[in-house]
Amino acid sequence: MKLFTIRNKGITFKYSISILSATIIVFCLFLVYNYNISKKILLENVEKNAKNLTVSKVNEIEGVLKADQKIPETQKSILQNFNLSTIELFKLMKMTVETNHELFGNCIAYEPYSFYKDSLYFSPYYFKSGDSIDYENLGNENYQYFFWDWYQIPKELNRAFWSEPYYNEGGGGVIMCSYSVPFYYNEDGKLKGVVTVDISLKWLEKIISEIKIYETGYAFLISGNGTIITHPLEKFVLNETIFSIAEENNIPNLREIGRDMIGGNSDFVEYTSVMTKEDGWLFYAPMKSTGWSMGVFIPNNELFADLYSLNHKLLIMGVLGVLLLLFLIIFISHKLTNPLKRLAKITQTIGVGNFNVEIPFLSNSSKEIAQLGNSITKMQKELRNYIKNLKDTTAAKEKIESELKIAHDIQQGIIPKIFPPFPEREDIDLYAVLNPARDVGGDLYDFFFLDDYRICFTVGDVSGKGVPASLFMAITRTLLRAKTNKDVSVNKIVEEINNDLCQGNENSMFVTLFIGILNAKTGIVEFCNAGHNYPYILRNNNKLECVKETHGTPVGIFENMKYKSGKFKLSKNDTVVLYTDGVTEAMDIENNLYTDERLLKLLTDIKDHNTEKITNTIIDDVKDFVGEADPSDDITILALTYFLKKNITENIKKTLKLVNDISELDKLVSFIEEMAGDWKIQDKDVFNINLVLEEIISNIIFYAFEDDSEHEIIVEVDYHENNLEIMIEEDGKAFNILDVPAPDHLKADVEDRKIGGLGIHFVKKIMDKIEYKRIGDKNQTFLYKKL
Amino acid sequence: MFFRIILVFAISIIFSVSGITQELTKLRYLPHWLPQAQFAGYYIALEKGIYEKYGLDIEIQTGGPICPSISELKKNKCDIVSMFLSGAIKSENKGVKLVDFCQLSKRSALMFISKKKSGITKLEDLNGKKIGIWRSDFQELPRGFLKKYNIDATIVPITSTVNLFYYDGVDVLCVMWYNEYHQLLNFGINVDELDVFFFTDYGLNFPEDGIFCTEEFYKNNEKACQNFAKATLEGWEYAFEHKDESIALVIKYMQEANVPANIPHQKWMFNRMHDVFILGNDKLNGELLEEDFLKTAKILLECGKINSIPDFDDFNKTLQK
Repeated sequence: MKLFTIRNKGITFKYSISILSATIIVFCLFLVYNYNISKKILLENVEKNAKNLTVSKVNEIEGVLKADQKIPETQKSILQNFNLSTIELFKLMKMTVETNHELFGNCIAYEPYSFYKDSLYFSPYYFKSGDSIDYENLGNENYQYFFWDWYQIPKELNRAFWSEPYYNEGGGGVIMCSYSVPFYYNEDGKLKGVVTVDISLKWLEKIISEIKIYETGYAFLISGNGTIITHPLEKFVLNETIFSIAEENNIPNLREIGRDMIGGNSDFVEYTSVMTKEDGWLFYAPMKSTGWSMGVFIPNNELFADLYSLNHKLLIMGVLGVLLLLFLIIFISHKLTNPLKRLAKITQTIGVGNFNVEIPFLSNSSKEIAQLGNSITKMQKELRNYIKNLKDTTAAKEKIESELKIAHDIQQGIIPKIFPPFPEREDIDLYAVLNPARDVGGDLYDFFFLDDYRICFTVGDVSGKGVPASLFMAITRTLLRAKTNKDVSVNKIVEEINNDLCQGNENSMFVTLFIGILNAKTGIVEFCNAGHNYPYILRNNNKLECVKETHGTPVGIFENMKYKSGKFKLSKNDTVVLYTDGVTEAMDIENNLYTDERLLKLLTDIKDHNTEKITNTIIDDVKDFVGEADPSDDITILALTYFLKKNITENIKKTLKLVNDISELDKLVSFIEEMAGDWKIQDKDVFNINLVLEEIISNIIFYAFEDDSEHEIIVEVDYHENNLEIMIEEDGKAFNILDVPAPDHLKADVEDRKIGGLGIHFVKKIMDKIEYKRIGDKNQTFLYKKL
Repeated sequence: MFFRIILVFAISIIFSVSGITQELTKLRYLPHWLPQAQFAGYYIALEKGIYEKYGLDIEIQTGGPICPSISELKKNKCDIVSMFLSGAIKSENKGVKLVDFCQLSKRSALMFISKKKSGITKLEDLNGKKIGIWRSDFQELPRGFLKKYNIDATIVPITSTVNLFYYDGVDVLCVMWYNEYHQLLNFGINVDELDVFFFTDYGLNFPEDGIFCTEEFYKNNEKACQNFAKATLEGWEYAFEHKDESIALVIKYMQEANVPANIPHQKWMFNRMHDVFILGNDKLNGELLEEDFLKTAKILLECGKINSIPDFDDFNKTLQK
């Protein structure tokens, strides 16, 4: 197992840092607290111990010194209360020195002229010299003892006085100290003299040096004015005062300590040893009897040695513990991240499409990891299924799409696509465009010639979009072609298409339809608008007209619906523009509509009556308008421009077949119009012909037949060299128009007239010649007129 | 050519050798106290061979309380002594006529001090107090001070230490600025616990340390004495430029004489000697000014230490600076 891999940085790193940081902080706090508490306790103990040690030593020393004090004090008592002779005095002194081994010398010095009345100086002095005891009388001219400290100070202070320590023999030898006690005359209390004992302080040095404070700790003694009496550093002794040491080493707080010591106080303070340069603590206590003070220095490093060592051990333990913790964290997180890593890799493999990768059974991992593994396995299975479904669905969709594509092609094949459609014709130009919104759509246009000079053009819009609309469109178009022939009026065509579409129209689909039939001879367009958008006519003077006529509801809704028809006349260079609502209801990205107004304006500006240009102009403008938006509906535009034919058509016999129904008169009118257009008959003559034929045909329709069945009426017209010949044939009862008498009262009211008289009169009047023949069961009436 | 070079070379060697074999004048100099920084210049001059340079073989004796200058001179234990100017002027009364051939000190270093806690803040407060005055050669100076200001106090003669004052045995002590004053500081008394009265502030600015010998001796050894003065001045110059070295040398002398020694105190003393020897922007010199001589003599006359003021020119053998 790779314990030290850094690749687990994520979790391992995070956990390591946070856990370790917390642990380290806690441990450090603990360590610091422990250290401080331990230090405090230690110091308290140390202070107690130092105090005990110092005080005990001080007491020990004072014990000795106090004992020594007794000697001169005893002598003082004797000298004050007894008048000793010289011999007695000397004896006393000698004995004193002999019996007290720590005593070096004993001196009893008298005030001037005090012992001997004539002697200024008297100061016998007994002192140890080798094995014996020597005597000396100290005072002389050169040594006027009155002015020396050991005499003068007790004299002036009127009390016993411990002198400052001094060297026995000028700088060398033994440190000595003198205790001087003044003694007085009992009578008047005047000073008699001063008793002094000189004491060697060697034993003192020994006691002090025996004080063991660890290895580098030590004790020292200072006198009443701060002079060093004993010190491990020999050169300090009697040379330095504690204050001179402070001055030399620039330690102001040592001066304060010195003053406190001399002041007879006791304390335990932090201190840096001048001798050893160690940091530590100083305990000092006063020696009341002499006015001295003892200091004991305890070095920190030894004092806290155990504490430091303990701390080090704790620190090491802590570091080891932290390291152990670190390893543990790495191990655990490794155990955690390993399966996670593996799962991550597997998930990645699944992610690139391999759904069959084996997911390991992570039984030895934690419950959560195992759960994760199971989830991934399930996910993998689901993905597999999903992909399979997706594949199937996609295949099906593709099949449909390819079929749709074929349907699109079929639909496009239905509508005439070749432009210009009649290049050989000079009288009609046509251009059309159908852009379905989807692959297939419900818009349609169509155009075809009924005969030589009559063209039927259509635009329609099936309700809805897509395949249903396109199927309906195909049916409509088929019906249109089937129902349209040259003999059927345009509204009849619409009625028939409507009836057929209504059959089996379960889905209630409908189609708006515009059918127009243009007679190229006359320029007249008969049209039927079944709920479709009003077409526009661009006149040759660039005025724009809108053919605002509707002749019924959209086709396919109401069975047996009757439709009307309308008419408009085109002149040379006029253009008809048909369109579906895919144009006017085209939507841009903000769902604004193109609107009729915009189309109107666009068409108003068009000057060039080129149908292709016009169509493309509209298409482009709609495209501009729609912009990025998806097409919402199929767009269909059909433009037809009419040019007058240069040649007049040849005079051929024209025939019209009618049925004996009064509605057939419309056909008659159209026939006559057409005839007039072809043969260039003047309007006046056209009027008369209309009158004549209408009269005759109506008479026939009303009176010629006795039954209710359908009869045929044939009208034949011939025109050559301005001679018009009309022949009307029918198989009604015999009727000779010539036999109809002239109306007797031409001036009578219309209501009073007998039927048929006046009309026939006009006919006879207008026509140049009338003939009648009866052939078999047919009547033949001939009308002649020279125009 | 070559021979001439050899000749010149030989002559110069002879002269330098003769310089070496030329006899040095032996002189015995006694400082007026125990070894301390007060005499640093002399020690340096000896140590650095300056005396030798001037043709002198000097023995520096150990002074102190047990060998006062004049009595030693009288006993012919020494040839040259140093002492206070006042002491030299009145020496004739003691039977020795001295001449001053180098006046080192230019101002007084004497002062009265008292502890603030004794309540003495101004001169008048000295009245009725116990004043410690050194049993020294110059004790007429402090006594003259008291007389001048009509102070009636008990004078307690001091011989050995400042301890009597330290332990409150006397209220006031007459001390040297360069010595006992600092000693008391080294006993733990803070500067702000003392009141000081400098003699210089009270119109008693008497120069002190000078180098003297008997009139007779001077007559016979004028050149040597002047050389001694020059060498000593040079020694002091060197000392002031090499403070640490000088102090170390002083301590060596002190240790050899078993005198308690520590660096801070000697440093203080050394620095004060500089202040006492050199005033303002002056250079170190040994000139005695007549006005200093006269005012010192006057106070001695007033104290009855002399009967008349000695002749200045007789007395003054110092070189003009």
